[in-house]
Amino acid sequence: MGPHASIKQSLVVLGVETSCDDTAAGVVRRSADGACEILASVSFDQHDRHRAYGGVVPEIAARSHVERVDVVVDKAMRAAGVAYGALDAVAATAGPGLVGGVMVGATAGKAIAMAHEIAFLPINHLEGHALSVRMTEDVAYPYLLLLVSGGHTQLVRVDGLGAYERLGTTIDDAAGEAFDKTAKLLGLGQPGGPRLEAAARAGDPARFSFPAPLAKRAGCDFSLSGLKTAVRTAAEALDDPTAQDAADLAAGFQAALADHLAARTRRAVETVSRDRRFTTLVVAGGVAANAAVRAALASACADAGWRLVAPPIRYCTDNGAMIAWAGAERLAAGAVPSRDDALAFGPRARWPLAPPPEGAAIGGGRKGPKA
Amino acid sequence: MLVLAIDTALTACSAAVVDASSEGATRALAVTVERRAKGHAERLAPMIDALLREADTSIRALDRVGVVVGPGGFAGVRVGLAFARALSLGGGPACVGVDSLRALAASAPPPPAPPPEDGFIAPIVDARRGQVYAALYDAAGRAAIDPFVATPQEAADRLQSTAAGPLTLCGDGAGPIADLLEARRDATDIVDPVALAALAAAAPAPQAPPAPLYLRPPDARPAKAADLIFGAP
Ligand SMILES: [Zn+2]
Repeated sequence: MGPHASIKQSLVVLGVETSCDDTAAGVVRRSADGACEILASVSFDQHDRHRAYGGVVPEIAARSHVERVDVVVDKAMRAAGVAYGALDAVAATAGPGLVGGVMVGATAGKAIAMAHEIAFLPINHLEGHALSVRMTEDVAYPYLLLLVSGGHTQLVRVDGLGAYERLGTTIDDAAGEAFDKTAKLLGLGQPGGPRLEAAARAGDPARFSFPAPLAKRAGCDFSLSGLKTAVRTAAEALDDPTAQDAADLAAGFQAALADHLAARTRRAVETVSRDRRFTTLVVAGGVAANAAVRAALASACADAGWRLVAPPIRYCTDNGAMIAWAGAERLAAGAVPSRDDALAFGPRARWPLAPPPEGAAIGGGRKGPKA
Repeated sequence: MLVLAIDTALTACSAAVVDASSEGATRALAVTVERRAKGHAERLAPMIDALLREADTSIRALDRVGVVVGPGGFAGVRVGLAFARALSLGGGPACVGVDSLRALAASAPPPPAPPPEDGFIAPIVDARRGQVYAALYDAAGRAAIDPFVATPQEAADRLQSTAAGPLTLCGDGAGPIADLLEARRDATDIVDPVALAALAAAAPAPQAPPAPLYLRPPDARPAKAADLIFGAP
């Protein structure tokens, strides 16, 4: 950290995000009063490069990131109208995620920080999502966070910067992953979320009813792979599947997934409501864009007398601004590693935002825990 | 010109700050060579930070950064390139890419006297899965065969049919090739960052940032037909 950073009126931070299939950079200004101004948020998505494979291919993602990360950073800096020398820090996602991509973004971030003699801040991607709502919305701590994306499905109690408690996580697939796999199964293509949602609009959600996962299990964990399997079983039982069948299956799947997310969220709302300061549910991650999911969560919030807050979709999905913002919040609070530790920071495939509750297993599943 | 050389592509993490002329003269100000197969992402930045301090200079003062672009370990290649390319952002040093085989050939000491002027050097890197990365250079450093990936037998055949003089092999993949053809073997198996800096200084001014050289497609299987009950979109 520069010698003057702590007494500056405002902090300007560059953020770099390369943990999945978006190469993204953002620039934010944090005023002394804690207000956020997003100066730029630029992203290059790689969907077309992965389409033929029906999912994100780590090596293809890493190759794409190294070709683009400097280009995307420079675009963001130009769009923000900020000179590199005017930055207070460079923040970069250092995990969790696809380690080949994380390595590229974090390494580029270190180089930029060294070249311009400013701080490098390794950021937990999940913390980026957890705090992103405060960039654009007036939300005070504490709040309950539901993070639903292609890599994560978690309920997190957010008490403040760095003060998180994970209440539940998926024990198998992430919600976005379930959308992608089911869309693939139904021949809807990628990206699975929007394609499946579009197909479901023409479908009857009541024609197929899929069982609610973990209905008898206490706690706030999620399970989504069974739902995908149930769709497959129902599809395989059809003689000569039509587009209408696919639409009905999509609608049934989406309704069951939304209900499951809402049911587990209701439990978390109940748990944290013992502390009366909790009255807000924040939803983040790409699946927050799904209207059925939002409606189910809105109804859960209405029943509890809570407020549902969702940041604009472009800040819900992976973006560089949220990483910059997490960096700015940490820099303002002095909650940053030493310069040497930051430069030596290694990329982490797994990096829980908060330790799981005592005695609880870390989520399993074929691919292991996502975080 | 002041050059920072970076190699993270093979089985080492190495860097040097070198005062180099475009004619090939070099004066090394600080050099670190560390053998390691992984962990480049953790080591590189602290290593360069220490080198710059030792050389009493800064990134701002550099004219060029020379980086090995592969072929080699995919992750290592990307760490070097991501670092070097990002250094040039915002008016930093020009970034020059050098392939790992040329850098390896330049790192081998000249053959013992009398130096055969019609001699050739073939750097060979173990590419795993029963293959090697290889190339062939003449005594003046001109490429007779550009980098390629092949089985040791295929590589030996190509090298033998093109090298029109005494052949020297180097690199960690040279063993199986040395068994297949008559060649002198040099023990050099990692890049000398000072030799790399000399190559980077001698290169023409770059027009675009260097790209990685993988020589292999990514490991990726298309979605299986069995996964698609409703057929592909
Ligand atoms: Zn994310």
